[in-house]
Amino acid sequence: MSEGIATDETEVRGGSVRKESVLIRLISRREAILIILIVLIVVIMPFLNPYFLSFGNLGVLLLGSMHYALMAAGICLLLIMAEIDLSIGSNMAMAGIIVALAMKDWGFNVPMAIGMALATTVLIGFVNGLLVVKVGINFLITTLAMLGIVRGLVVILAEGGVAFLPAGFNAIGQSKFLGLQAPVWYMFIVLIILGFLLAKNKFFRKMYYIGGNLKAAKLIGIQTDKIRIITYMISGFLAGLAGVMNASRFGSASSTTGTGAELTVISAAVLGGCSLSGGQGNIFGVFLGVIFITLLSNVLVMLNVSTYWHQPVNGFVLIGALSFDILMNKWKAEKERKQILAR
Amino acid sequence: MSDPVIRMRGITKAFPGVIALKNVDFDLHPGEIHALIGKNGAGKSTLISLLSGVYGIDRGEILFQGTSIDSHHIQDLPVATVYQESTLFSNLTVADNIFCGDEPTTVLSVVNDKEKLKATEKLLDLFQFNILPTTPMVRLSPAEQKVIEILRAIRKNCKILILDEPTATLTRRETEKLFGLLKKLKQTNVGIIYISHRLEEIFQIANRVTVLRDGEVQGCAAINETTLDRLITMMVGRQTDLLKIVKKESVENKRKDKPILAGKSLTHHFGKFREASFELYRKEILGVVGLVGAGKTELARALFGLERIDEGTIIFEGEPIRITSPKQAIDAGIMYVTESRKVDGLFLDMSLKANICAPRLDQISGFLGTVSAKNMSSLSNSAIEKFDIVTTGVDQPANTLSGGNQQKVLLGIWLQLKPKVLIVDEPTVGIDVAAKADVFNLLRSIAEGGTAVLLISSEIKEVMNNADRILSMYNGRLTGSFIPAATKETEILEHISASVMEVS
Repeated sequence: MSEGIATDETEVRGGSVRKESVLIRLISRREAILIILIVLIVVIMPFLNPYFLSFGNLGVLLLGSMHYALMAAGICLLLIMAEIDLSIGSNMAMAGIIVALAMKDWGFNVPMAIGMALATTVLIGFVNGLLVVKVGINFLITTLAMLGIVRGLVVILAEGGVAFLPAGFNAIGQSKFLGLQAPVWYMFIVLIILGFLLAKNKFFRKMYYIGGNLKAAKLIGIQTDKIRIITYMISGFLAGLAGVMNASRFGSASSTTGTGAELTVISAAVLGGCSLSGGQGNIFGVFLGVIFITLLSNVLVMLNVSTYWHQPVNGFVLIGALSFDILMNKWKAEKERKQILAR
Repeated sequence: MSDPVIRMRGITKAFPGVIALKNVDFDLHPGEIHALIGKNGAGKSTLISLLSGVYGIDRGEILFQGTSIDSHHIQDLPVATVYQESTLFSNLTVADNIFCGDEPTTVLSVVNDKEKLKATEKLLDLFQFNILPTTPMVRLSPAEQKVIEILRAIRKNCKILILDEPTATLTRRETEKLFGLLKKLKQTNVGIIYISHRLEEIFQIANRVTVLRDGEVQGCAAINETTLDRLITMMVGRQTDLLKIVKKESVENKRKDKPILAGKSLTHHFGKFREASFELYRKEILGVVGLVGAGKTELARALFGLERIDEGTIIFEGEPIRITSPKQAIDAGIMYVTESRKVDGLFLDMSLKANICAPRLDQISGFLGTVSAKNMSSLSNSAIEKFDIVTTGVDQPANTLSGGNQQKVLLGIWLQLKPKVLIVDEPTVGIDVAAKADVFNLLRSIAEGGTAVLLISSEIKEVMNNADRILSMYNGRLTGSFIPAATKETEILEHISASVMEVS
C-alpha cells in the first residue's frame, strides 16, 4: 500500500484523487458545524422568545462573551502547543483588583494602573512558563497551583473586592460605538490581530510545529522554550486584559471574578477545534466556540430554564461534539475500508 | 579530488563515565558519499552530534573548507541532518514541513504563501515527486516522508548532509528511489555522510567508508578497495557467521508432526492480507518476508488478536480457534513480539527488572500480593545470564540499554510466558551486527526448545540465514514457499517485489 511515490492515496497535482462529497467536507470542518448550529439557534429562537433577536440581547451576548473570548484566544495558542493555562480565571481577577487598587489606594493614573495590572498578569504567565518549560513541572500541576496562589493573593489584597472605580476608567468599558459597548470592539480587534498572526505570522506558525512534534521542532532549530514561555505570557496578558475590561465595564473589581472560567474557556476552545493533543486549532473556530457556549446559556435564560442547568448542558454539548468527531472519523475509515476492498 | 569541505582532526569527546570518541579523524569531500558505520554505541551518533553543534568537542578541531571553526560557530555551518527518527509534523502539510518556520516573509513576518508553495513545488520537481505542496503529511508513505525530510535539508542549501539510517523504514524500491535522489545531490557538490546498518547498501551508494568501534576509527577506505567481510571484522572485532547460510538438514524432520498453527484462507478486515494459508510446525523458524506494507505485520498481529480477520480459519493444535484479543492468544500460548519495541514493547522508563518480571507479577508475588524484590532480582539475573544482556544491573532503566539489549529484554519478557508459538516482528531493526547474531542465536535456541517461531522480516538475507522455511508475501498475498538452502536470494526477491506480480 505504501510503496512508490504518489500512490492512489496521495493527492496528485492537477486534482485530488480521493474525492469527498461537499457535505462530508463541510461537516468535517468544526467551524462549519458551529456556524450551522449558531444560525439554527438564531433562526429558531425568535419563534420561542421574540426578545431574543433584539439588538439589545445580541449586544449583551457579545459583551458577556468578551472576557471568555479573550482568554480563549490565549488558551487556543497554548492548546496548539498541547499545553493549558488553568490560572486564567484567577489572573483575570488579579488584573481587576490590581487596576482598582492602583487607582484608588495607590494613587496612580488610569494608564499607569492598567499597565501595572497587565504587567502583573504577564509576569504570572512568565512564571508559569518558566516553571513548565525550564523547571519542567507538568503544565496542569503548575497552572493549577498558580490558580490557587493567585486567587489567594487576590483575596489577601482586596478581600471582597474594590467598588466605585473612577469614572474616567469606567468610561473605557461603558462607552458605546456603533451601538456596541467598547469592550466588544476591543475583543474583535484583539481576536482579528491574533487570528491573522496565528494564520500568517512566522513566530505564531511555529506553535503548530511545537504542538505537532516538540522534539522534532527542537531538532530543526525552532526555539521551543522561548516560544512556549512567551505564549504563557500572552495567555497572562489576555486574561489580564479581560480582567481590566470587566472591571471597567462594571465599575468595580470583585475577587471572585472569573472563578471557574477555565472550564468554560477550555470547553469553548475544544469545541472550536483545538485538540488536547496539540497541533490543531485557530482563533476563528475558538471564537465560534465561545459564541456557541454563551449563546447556549442565553437560550436557556430565554427559555426560562434554571441557571443550574447551564453547566450540565455545557458538559453534554462538549461530550456530544467530541463523540461526533470520533464517530465521523470511524465512519470515514469504514468507507475507506470498503473502497480498498472494492479495488 | 578537491579539498575536503569538512575535516575533523583528533576529535575526543567524553561524557560522564565514558569516552565516546577517541582521537577521531574524519573528512568529507564535496560531492562524495562517505559512509560511517559501526555498532550501536560505537560513536557514530556522537560524531554527527558534534558536527551539528549539539555538543561541544573536548579536544581536536573541525575545519570547514580549510579554516578552523571555533566551537561556538559550529552551529552556523551549512550542515543539515536527517535523523533516523522522524522529525516531521504530521499535523501540517508538505510545504509546512519543508519550510518549518523558516518561510519567506513579507512585512511583519507574514509568511509569503505563494512563494512558499512555489519553492516547494520546485523542490518536489527536482525529485520528480508528483504531489501537491498542500498535501497533509499523514497521507504520505514512510519513504515519501523521508524524502520530504531530505528535501527540507536541501532547501537550506547545505554543503554537508548527514543521513542517519535513512532506509531503515524503506522498502527496496523506495530505497532505490532515494539513492537516485542522493546521486543527483552528489552532482550539486553536496557532501553526504551516510550512516547505515545495511552494509550492502553502502557498497551500492558510498564512495568511501569509515568504520568506528568503541569511539575509535578502525579504518577508512575507498569502497572499491574493501569487502563486506573486512568491514564486518572491523566493526565487531571478531568474525561472525551472520552472513553465511547455515545448512538446515532437519527441515523435513520437523514437518512430520502436525502443524501447531495453521491458517486457512485468512482474509483481513481491511484486505491488508487475503486468502493467506500457511502451516507452522514445532521447533522450526518460519520466515515471512515481504516489503514494508506487504501485510506481514497485519498477519502477525491478526494471529495475536490485534487485527480483525473476516474470513478463513485459524487452526491451533488441530482445533479451529477464534482469536479476537491478545488475552485469548496469550492464554492459548501464542505470543507476539512487536516490531516497535519503544512504542508498544518495553516499559522504557522502568528498570530492567520491572520489565522482565512484568508478565510474572502474579507468580512471584506472595502474601497479600506483595512482590518480593529478591524474587524479581533473581528472576531478572537469570534472564540477563540466559540472554547475555549487557547491563549495569537489574535496576538499569530500559531506555538506557542499547537497541540490541532492549530487543533481548523484549524477547525475555515474552519467554517468561513459555510460548508455544512465538511471532517475532522485525527483531533486528536498528540494532548492530553483533546483536543481530545474538538475537538469531536466541531465536534458534527458543525453537530448539520446542517453540514454533514465526519470523516476520523485510531483510531477505537475514531470514535466509536463519529460518528453516520462508514464505514470501506481496501486496497482501502469500506468493511462494522456499527452503533457504535450496533457494537463491534473487528468487525470493522476485516474489516479494512487484515484478513477479506484474507478469503473472
